[in-house]
Amino acid sequence: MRRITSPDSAQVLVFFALVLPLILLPAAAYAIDAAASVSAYARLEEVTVRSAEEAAQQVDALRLRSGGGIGLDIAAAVARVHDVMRSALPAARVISVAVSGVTVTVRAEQAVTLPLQLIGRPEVTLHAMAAARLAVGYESPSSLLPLPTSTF
Amino acid sequence: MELAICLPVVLALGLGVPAVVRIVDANAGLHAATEAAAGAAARAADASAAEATAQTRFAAVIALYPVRSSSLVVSLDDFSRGTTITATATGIVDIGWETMALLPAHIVIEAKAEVSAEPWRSRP
Repeated sequence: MRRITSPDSAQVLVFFALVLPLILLPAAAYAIDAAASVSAYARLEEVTVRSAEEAAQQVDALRLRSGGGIGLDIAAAVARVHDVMRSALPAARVISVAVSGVTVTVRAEQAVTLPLQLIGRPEVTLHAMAAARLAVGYESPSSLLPLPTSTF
Repeated sequence: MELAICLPVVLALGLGVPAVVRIVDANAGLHAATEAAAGAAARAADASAAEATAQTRFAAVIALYPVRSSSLVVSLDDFSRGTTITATATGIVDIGWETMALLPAHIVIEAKAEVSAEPWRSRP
């Protein structure tokens, strides 16, 4: 008995054997790796912003009480940035903390290992920068309203 | 016959990848919303305002992400200067018809953020 087979048989299998490793799998891996990178970047940015904000709250109390005005305690500000980064995102690294007047600028980086690593490098380094400024508030906003001249 | 072999692979890829991306996106969103809520609470004038501000901020941010039934618990301690404010949030990500790719119908995600209350804010 002779088995009759079509000349087109198994063409789909051959097509998938080529397309799957060359197009489908890399595209799927790229989508997952990209989502993981973006998620890690968003987290790094959040923590960098928070570390800058908390550093900008480290008022130099001695200077303020001695009448020197509002300024930042630089050592406390730098220590605060490292504390926040260490507790919230231990995988990240603080590159620099710059204190200029009442403004704190923080730069941080994080090496992220991609989950699937099918395309390109297995690890990407993400960078984030945030600046925060200490703004002097006041106890009662109405106290800054213009007063009638007859008061004086 | 050939299609019967190839279709499950294509379906698993086509449905599984968007599901994974959606979970990652939702997880990032929940973290962002929790962080934003804790930050808003830390800058509030008093404890009751902190709770309300945190909930409002959380709702505004989480609305942008594919998370449902999200809830936020803010632990304010005594809300004195410099104390730690802890915000914990949970939410559910619906995976929907990607369950065909052998994934669960939904998963529960959690996020936590800790922020110090402003050390120099006005006392209530």
